[in-house]
Amino acid sequence: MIALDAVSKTYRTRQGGRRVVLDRVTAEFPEGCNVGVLGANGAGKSTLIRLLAGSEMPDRGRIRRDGRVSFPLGYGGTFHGALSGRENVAFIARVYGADLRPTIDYVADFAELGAYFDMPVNTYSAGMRARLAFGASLAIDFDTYLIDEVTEIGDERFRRKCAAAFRDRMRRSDIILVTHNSRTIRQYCERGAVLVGGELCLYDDVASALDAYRRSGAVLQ
Amino acid sequence: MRPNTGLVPYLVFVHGSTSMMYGVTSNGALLQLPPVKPFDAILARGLLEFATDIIVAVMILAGFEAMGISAMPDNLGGAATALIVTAVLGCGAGFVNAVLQTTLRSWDRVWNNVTRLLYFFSGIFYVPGMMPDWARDILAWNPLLHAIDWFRTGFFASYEPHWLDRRYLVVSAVLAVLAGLLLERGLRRHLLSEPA
Repeated sequence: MIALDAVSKTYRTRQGGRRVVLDRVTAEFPEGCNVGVLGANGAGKSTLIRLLAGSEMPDRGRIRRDGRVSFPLGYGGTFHGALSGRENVAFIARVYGADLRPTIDYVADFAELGAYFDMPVNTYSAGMRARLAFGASLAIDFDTYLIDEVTEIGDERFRRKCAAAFRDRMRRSDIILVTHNSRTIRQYCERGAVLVGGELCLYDDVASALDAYRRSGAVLQ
Repeated sequence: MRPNTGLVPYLVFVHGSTSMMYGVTSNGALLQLPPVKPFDAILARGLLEFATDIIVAVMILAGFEAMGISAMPDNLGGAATALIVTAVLGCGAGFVNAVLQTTLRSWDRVWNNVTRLLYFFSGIFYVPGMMPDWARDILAWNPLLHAIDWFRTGFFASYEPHWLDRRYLVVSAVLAVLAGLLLERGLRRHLLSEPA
């Protein structure tokens, strides 16, 4: 469960303007269900995920988290470029107090990086980094997984492997994912939410969220 | 021999405070991991620099001894205490720097020039004993000058300058750490915010 209590977050843009991501938002992502958050490009979806994770702090308000919440999963890596995939995974395992050997073995098997697992992460493609991040997060038992728009990682086979791993994990963990892709949200989530103009509205099912999103004038993919 | 004893505490201060300055701005990816706080990332850099400097200092001393040159301090405990207090002072400055660097992106240029000035104003090569009284009275406001002279007293039992005020250095170091931690606490929301 993650609850937002009157949370505000604003950015100063390069041009000197201000972009409001959240404006006094009070909302609750309940336990036991997977929520897909829809938002147009630039609505602040990635910021929302980082706020939920705690990688970033709100300007005002509080965010409460029950259970272990994952780091934000997406293209923006949490990795040190000069260290190898193996070393990065070992570091993350230590940070979260997981056993080193099983964690590393799991990621080596899941991410399918081959010899690259022992190469610096700097040399990875964006897809390889995402695979490493997914592997690392699945290797650690989180209660809630926060996923940022990563439906296009790897080839079709790897996507299916990822979906299967998450479906298995969803029996005991929840997923909150942000996307502007209606297929992804239908595939993973039973509840939807819309982030638009600084407001975050949660809906009881995905269909109503998609309707509301369409009515807000956004184009669905 | 006396000028050389000035460099080690000076470098302990400068290495720590300068490396810690980038503790937040160069660790964007690391700080995406929520359990890792800016405090951890900043302090880790300071500890790494201090450990490195200590190892280098020990290697230099051991090298001198191996060559049959007597370089061991007369009072090892005194020299070590001076270095630790100097490291604490550098740590305080480092926390202040780290916070300022996230707010003012050119702060590192200012700080690098400050450390260059401190190189001349801390009594490293111009030992305070060689200075005119009026100059020394002014430069004695610089805590780093006391750090360096305290370290010297550990090496030379006969050296006990009347201007050395150990308590002044300790108080400066504690105040610097307090200032750094208060700044970090006050601007924490700003530290954990993606640069726009």
